[in-house]
Amino acid sequence: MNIIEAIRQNNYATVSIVGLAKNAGKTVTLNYLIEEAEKSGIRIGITSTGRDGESTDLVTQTQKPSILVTEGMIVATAKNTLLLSGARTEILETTGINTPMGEVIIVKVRQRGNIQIAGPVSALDMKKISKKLNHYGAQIVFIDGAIDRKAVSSPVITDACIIATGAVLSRDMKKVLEKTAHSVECLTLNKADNEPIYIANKHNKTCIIQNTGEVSIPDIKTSITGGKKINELINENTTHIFIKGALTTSLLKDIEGNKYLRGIKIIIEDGTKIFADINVWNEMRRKGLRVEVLQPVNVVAVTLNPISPTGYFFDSVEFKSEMEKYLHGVKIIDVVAGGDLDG
Amino acid sequence: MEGIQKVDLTKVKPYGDTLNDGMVQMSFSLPVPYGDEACEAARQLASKMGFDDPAVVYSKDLGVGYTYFVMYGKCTHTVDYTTIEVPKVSMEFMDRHEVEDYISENIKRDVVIVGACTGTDAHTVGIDAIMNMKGFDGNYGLERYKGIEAINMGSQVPNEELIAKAIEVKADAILVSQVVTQKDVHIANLTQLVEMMEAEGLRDKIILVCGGPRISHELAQELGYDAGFGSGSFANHVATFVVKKVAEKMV
Repeated sequence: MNIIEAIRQNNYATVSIVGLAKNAGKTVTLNYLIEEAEKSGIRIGITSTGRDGESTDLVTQTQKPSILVTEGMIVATAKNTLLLSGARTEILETTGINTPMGEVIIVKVRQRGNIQIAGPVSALDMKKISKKLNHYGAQIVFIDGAIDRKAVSSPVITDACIIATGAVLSRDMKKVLEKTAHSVECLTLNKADNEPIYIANKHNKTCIIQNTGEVSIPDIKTSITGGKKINELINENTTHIFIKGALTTSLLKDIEGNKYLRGIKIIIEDGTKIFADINVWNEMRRKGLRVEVLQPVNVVAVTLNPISPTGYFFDSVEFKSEMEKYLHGVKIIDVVAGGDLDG
Repeated sequence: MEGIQKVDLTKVKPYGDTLNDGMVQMSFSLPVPYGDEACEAARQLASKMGFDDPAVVYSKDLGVGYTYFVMYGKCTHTVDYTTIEVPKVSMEFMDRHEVEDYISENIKRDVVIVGACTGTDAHTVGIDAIMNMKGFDGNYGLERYKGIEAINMGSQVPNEELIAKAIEVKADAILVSQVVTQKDVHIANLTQLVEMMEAEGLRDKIILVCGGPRISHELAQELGYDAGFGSGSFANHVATFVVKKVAEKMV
């Protein structure tokens, strides 16, 4: 089953493509999906949180793939990038949402050609835009991410996500495998139990939940710098800590030494809220840190790009088979070599 | 402008003494000991870079087996200037007094702006030029503006602290400056700030602006910022963008 069919079967209307680094292969993945959709006769909409389809990368000055759109596709892109595009389009709506590249405009492709896309920079605006693309007839909307930004993959914004990873992350394949596994782990953390979810949603603030049913809310403006106050409220009766917003390395360090931590579950909104350093995270997980989420992210697939534009590459067969050892139950596709042969 | 040889803008190349001579001066260091072999290595390298007639005009022993070179060479490539398109902010910038009037007429309260050099960057020249009282090149900084409360947090500020400060003072906008960075580390710093603000639910409440010599509007788009200001930007440019955006958000 190809990715598009898997998405349709689960009724996901909006899917984000997030990369673990620049040049991890997000745009190659998008092109792969455009092709699959055309073959399956599914009308899709596309937009980007960054900028896509320009010929050279802004940061690394490396060549970037262009984006070929086909008739009937719905695209949301900024005015300045639309003017640079080759495809013929019909304007459906000017949205009033501004980006550094101009106002976001929604168009329907009339004649196939290359296009440049740059959509809203904020995740909430992105949600509005993807709903509009669905409204104009897109059965699936793909949102291409930018650099290593993953905020659009939050379940509050999109229904599911595809993770693009590749050789560019490190010359050492093991590091690429570990980083990818860490990202997938964060996004697919288990959903918390109903009762603490109910309490977290009711207060909608960072809070400490006790087995007595008591809930204490620390006097902090943000959890980012509130670790010490949160730590003070943890006691032998604590069962859950709900962290609203970002779970940072400093927050984890502030509670690391707490003797009641073992057995306590930390609940966060979703995996996109984790900003912990991979080493600190792994260390604390080993010590028994348990983290659950209000809403897990649906990871449809992990795509691999075995080539790094900085001048080295992995053996694609080995890369894929090694990745399969690290990731279980996730579809893995090499979008460069092509290869969804195992069906 | 008579008597000046016509420049073919479709084939632009470097100018040294005469038009289209392609003359380039460059400098670099090589991890080899000072001497004739070092100069030959530099010459061969410049030749591989595509320069015609590469010549070492100066070399200096840097010690510990390193040598510094200044070289001349003729560039053989050209660019087509007529096809270059650089998107710019199409906004008419107000001067300081106009910004102050705009605030008192349209916003009717102080606009709070927090600025910092984040991550490992210790070069405050950019953020100081925009924020400090004395400003830069005859353009006063934001601290001088009536109706703007400018808070400059200085250099090497972690993103966590910047966000905490912005929440504490109820900032309307955050200005981030990244001047000198190695291996594109400024990119990771800048995206982490955006992502944390998204996680904290602040992204739509606070205007995010980045600045620095390597920042452009296109890069700002890629990074997820509302605007990016490169070299040659002054306080009034940033102020115009921020106050208009604040007024927009109030509607």
